[in-house]
Amino acid sequence: MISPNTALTGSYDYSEVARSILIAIAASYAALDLTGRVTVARGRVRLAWLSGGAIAMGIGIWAMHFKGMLAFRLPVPVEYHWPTVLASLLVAILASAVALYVASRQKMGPVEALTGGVIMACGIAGMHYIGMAAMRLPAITQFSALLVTFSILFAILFSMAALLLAFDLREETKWTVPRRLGSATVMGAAVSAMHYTGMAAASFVPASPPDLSHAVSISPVGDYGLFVATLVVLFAAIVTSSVDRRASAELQRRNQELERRVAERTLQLEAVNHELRKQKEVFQKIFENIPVMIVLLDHGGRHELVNPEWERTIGWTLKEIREPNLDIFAEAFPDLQYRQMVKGDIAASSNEWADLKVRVRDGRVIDVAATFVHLSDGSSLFIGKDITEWKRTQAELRESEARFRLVADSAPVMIWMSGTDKLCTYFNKPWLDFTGRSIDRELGKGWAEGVHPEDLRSCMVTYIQSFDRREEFRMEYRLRRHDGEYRWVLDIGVPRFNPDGSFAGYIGSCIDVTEQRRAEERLRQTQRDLARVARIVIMGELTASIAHEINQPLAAVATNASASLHWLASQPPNLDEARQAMANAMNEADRASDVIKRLRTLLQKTPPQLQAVNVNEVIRDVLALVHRELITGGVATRTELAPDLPTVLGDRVQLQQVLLNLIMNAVDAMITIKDRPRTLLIKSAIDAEGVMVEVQDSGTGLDPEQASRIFDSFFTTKPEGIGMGLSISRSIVEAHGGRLRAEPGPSHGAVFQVILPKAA
Amino acid sequence: MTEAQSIVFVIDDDAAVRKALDSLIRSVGLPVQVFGSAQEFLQSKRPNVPSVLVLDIRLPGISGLDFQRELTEANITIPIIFITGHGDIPMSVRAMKAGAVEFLEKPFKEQGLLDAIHLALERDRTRREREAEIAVLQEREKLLTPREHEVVRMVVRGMLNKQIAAELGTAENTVKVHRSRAMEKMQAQSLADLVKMVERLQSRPTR
Repeated sequence: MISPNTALTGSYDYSEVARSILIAIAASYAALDLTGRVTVARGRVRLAWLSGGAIAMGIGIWAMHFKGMLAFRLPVPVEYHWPTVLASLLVAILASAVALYVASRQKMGPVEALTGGVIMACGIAGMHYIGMAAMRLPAITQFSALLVTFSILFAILFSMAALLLAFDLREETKWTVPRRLGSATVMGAAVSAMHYTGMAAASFVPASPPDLSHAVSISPVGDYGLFVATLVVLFAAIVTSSVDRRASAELQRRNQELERRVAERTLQLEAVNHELRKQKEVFQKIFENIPVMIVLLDHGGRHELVNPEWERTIGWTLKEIREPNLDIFAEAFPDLQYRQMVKGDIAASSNEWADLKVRVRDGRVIDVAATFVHLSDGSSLFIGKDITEWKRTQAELRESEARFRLVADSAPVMIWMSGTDKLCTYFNKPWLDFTGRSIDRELGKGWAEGVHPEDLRSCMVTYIQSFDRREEFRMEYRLRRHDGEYRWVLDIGVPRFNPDGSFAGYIGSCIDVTEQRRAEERLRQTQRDLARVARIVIMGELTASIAHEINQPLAAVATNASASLHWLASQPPNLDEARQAMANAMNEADRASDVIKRLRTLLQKTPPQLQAVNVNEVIRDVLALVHRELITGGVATRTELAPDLPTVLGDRVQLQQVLLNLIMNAVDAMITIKDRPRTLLIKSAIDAEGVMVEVQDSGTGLDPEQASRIFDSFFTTKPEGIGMGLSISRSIVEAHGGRLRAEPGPSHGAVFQVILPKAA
Repeated sequence: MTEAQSIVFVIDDDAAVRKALDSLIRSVGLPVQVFGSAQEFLQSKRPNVPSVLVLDIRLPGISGLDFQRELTEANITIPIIFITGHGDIPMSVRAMKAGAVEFLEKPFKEQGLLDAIHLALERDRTRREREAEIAVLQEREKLLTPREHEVVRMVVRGMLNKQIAAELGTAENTVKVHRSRAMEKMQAQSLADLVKMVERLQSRPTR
């Protein structure tokens, strides 16, 4: 018997419990699976999936619940009011629909999760408690408020977790199935836990039998049927979902493939387009900037397109020549026959170049090198270049060339030219007449055959060295004349340059200097003779001085000797004085011998001997020779000799002669000076070119008329002079590679300056 | 020895020649002073004794001949012996005309030089003595009154007292007094003596 107010003790059929959990897991899996489908589907398909999924899932949840209810065994018969059961099923399906809808949306934030979770939990809780309300049993159902609340909270938590999981797992990935299985197990367990918590919240107190209208009892067979049917529905849902998923995946793969191909083709097209654009730009730029006229003529011969160069050159613009009343052909080719010929050329478009005479807008007629090129669509391309200037230059060049040849051939000199490779490219007629050879034999290196073998080497060295340095050269060599005689020629070569400044080779001119050389040789011989004569004359002038120079020491010798005799003869003999006098006599004898030695060198007629000469020594030697002359002339002599003077290469005696000459001239120039000191300053210094010697006097100086002539032969300002001194001095200095010049002194007199190159 | 009171001057720009001459002249016992140039000589303080100048004809800055002339113009009386390295006739003629004692060409015989030196010194001494005598006579002449002076001049010309008196318009006795006074003042022993004295006075160089 069952006592009232005592709760009925329920027990669970655990196999039913296990089945219910299985259903929960299956339903969960189906739910997760379906979420993915709903997500990928669109439009009506989505609605179909949503509703179908909701039904399958709702049935699953409901079946689990109902199974759980059936697993609960009470010691009283329990029946179910089936309309209520049906209502709970509907609630389950609705809750599922909400869940699927929420989980399949684009995004899932906390708000969506919470809202969806609460709605879904309400659905599930509603379904649960409606399902319990369908129980018909002789007892009153009492609920524990705490557990009910707990179960609802549980439902909310579960729902939210389920939604988040479903959202998370809706995408198809490699690990989706195992993860879904795991999630489904957890969810199933959670659903079951919620359910059994809800069950635990209810206790049953025996009461009067219930109203059993519309109530049915569930037989074990029905129970099983329900279980199987549920699984079938769920299985069907999963299978359908799976098949659809595969189909969908395949479709997606194809779509992706298609998209990839489209993208690929798009890229290819873009590349092609880019290339085309670039090419177009390149051709456009060429068309606009090339200094060549380009015109596109349509098949009727009308100007379709012209480039700026054409407009610039011809003077018309494209717009202007399109005016109907302007015939550009008539403008450009006023001559009808010529015009016809040009049109013929256009029609032929033979791609051959022709020179056209074109009248431009301002009336000038220009030369155009032109061609017409046929295009595939029947139009043709005119390509032309203004060559007026070039033609004119060419003509001028030809004219200039002809003029040059005329001048060169009629010039009284031999002219040759060489190119940048040193080889000769031209010889004028006088050259060919001289050598008596044909131009072919002279060209290149042929001319060298005519050069005297002894001169060839130095000739080539001079030519090649100067050529490489691009320096002007001047050389003399013997060249064989047509009659076989070798004649001396002076050859002066200068580098020549193109108008742009680039090196073009050499041009040279030669003259026969044989006669000149002979005359020069004769002149040199005469000068040599004269130089000797002049030296003798100078020596004559110097005789008095020289005699004095020798007599002076001799007098001292004799006097000293005599004195020593007297000292010895005195009583008693003064030996110290006698010895001193004898020593003095010996010194003076040496001095006399030195004078003789110097004179001898001066008087020798020796060929020029080049040796390293110390110019300061030369100055001292000469000053010793002219010592008396300076004293007699009342000349105060001062020297400023630079120490460390480099030596010069020269003939000592000749240089002495030059200096002797300059000093004697200075003395002579000062002889009439009474109102100021007679001073002679002799300086030596290092000069940029070598060694500089200056002889500066305070004499009568040079008047400009004399200054220009003093170096001339036979010009003299002295009554007894022969006018050779300075002339010879200059030739001596120049033979030493130096210079001799005269200029007025700082206040009075004259300065003679000798510059000698220092010894290499 | 009278020569101890004389001196030889040498001007030569050649030190060796100068030294040789110095030695030679000293070796014969004559005092000598040597100079390198005319200026040195002019600036030196020379003793007033018989002397001779041995002069090189070519001197630095001035020729020997020019120097000779300068000395004469400056009234410096000294016998000159020219020596020259290379003389020529016109030069020596000029020198001798201008009063040179000797013109020696180098190289000269030393005896020739020494003889010339002695001769020159002798001449200088004589000149100096004569000049000293003239100086004495001049002192005496200054004592004569103008009238005595006139009388002496006329006496020397050989005029008789009577003639002189007529010329002067005085008495013959007055002339005699003047004449004897003048003789006294001039310390003349005889008429011949007076004439000689006057001649000497008249031969002195005019200034």
